Amino acid sequence: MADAAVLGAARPPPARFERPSALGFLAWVIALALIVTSLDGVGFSPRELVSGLPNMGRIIGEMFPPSPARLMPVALALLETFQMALAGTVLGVLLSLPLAVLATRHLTPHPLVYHAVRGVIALFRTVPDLVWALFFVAAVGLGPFAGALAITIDKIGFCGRFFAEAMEEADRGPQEALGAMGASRASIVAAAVIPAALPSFVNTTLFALEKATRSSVILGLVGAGGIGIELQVSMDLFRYAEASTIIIAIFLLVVVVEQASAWLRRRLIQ
Amino acid sequence: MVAVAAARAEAPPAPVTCAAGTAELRVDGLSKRFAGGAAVLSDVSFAVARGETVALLGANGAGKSTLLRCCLRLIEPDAGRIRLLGSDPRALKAAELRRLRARVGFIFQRHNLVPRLPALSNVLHGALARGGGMRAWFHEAAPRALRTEALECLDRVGLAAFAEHRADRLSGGQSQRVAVARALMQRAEMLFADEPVASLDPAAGEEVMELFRDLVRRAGLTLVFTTHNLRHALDYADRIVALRGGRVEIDAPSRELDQGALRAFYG
Ligand SMILES: Nc1ncnc2c1ncn2[C@@H]1O[C@H](COP(=O)(O)OP(=O)(O)OP(=O)(O)O)[C@@H](O)[C@H]1O
Ligand SMILES: [Mg+2]
Repeated sequence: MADAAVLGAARPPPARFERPSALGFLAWVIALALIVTSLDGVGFSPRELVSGLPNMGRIIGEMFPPSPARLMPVALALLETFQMALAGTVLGVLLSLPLAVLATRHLTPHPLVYHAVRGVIALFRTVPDLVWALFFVAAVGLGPFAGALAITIDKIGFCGRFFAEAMEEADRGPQEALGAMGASRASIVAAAVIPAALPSFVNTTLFALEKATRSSVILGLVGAGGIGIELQVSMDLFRYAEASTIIIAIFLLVVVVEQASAWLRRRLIQ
Repeated sequence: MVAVAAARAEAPPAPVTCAAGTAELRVDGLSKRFAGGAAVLSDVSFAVARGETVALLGANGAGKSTLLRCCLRLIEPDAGRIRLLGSDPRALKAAELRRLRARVGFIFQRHNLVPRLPALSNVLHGALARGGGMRAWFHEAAPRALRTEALECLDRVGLAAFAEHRADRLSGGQSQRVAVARALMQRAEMLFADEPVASLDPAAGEEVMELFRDLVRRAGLTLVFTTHNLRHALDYADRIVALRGGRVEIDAPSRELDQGALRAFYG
């Protein structure tokens, strides 16, 4: 008890409010300036927002009731959107797996390979998928193939990173046990690392599919296939009732994919 | 000892003495210092004869695990000579080293098994290095012969009924027995066991130690195990090697030692 009292006396409690340092103060000023100039930069004006309100009301009004006029083409475009998402995700996941092994610190054959592959994965992840779509439209032409390729690249960036992290976190004990028996690196990956990381792989893959479904809607806007182009045409022609049908269709697709993915997740991860 | 000798009549002949030619493992002047640390092993020498059971003792941090790992080059020793099953692991190329490792079963204190795979797949992994390759990844995809052999190995440790059970749903004692079955699947000639029963309750620990004794007697395996259980060392080992401060302090037949002498060693 006496000791504790002495200790308490020797170390005063920390101050409740710390006085900001000069540098900290400067950081706050810069952050604030950044926010203000951003609002100014986008021409944020409450007046225009208010004067736009009737427009918004009118558009939303014209959206109802949704028009069933082009139901068939919309359904086909929706199917194409999902096909792009699925094909792109599957391809991306398949390509991610070997890349992720090379990008896993303790499994990579060489540190140089590790850094090179990590770099590629980071590049794929940081460039937005819309940019990849523009690139592939230019390379292979308009249509869903370009979109699927853009999704593939985007998913390599996403899954490559998370697969590698899951493998780095996998328990080393079983891996060491197999290594001590003379198993090759490929065998250790297949028989110990992947089984351990599998729940995470499934999770990441399903999440990637959900993400891909949402982004494949957008990719259509740059001509990379799918329902995006339908939506754009309807909006450009002021056919808001048709547009609302498309929006509802997109909403349904996303919800169905998310529900299916949640169901699969429960089934596959135990 | 008598029982061991009798069992050996039908097993390959193996003299109990540790003359130069018959040692399954011979370590000479082995030293190891980890980067930035004190020497863990300094000039360690000992030998293990074929069919012999040796207990490796020593306080926490004495270097027992490091020594076992160095013998298989799971840790690279700094200096010294090793002769294991007739070859020098330090002189081998990667592929040859893997073939040598395949002949030695290594049982760790825990986390031996791949948790999400069934016991049978874990046993099958024993065939990975001795030529099984990818056919030994998962039992579902393995050829019938390998599968049958894996089942037999499970049966020998009394767990045939647990073939389809996931490894992470087995008890600690069952897990260790599956790890032993995997070593059998390896057709290992030698077993290293690093505190194999330290995380088991007394009954399960005894069961696993009995299993080791049985395998040594019937299959003529050579066994080196580490333990903090002095009675296990005295009861199950033919010889006791004890490390202190990275050096061999005791190397004697277990019948010449008793609990008192070993307690004195721990100080
Ligand atoms: N990979 C490593 N890097 C650095 N130091 C290590 C490493 N492995 C072991 N050591 C150190 O080497 C010493 C011996 O460790 P070792 O695990 O061989 O002891 P042990 O006899 O097996 O102990 P225990 O009875 O606790 O299992 C310890 O001081 C430990 O901190
Ligand atoms: Mg140890």
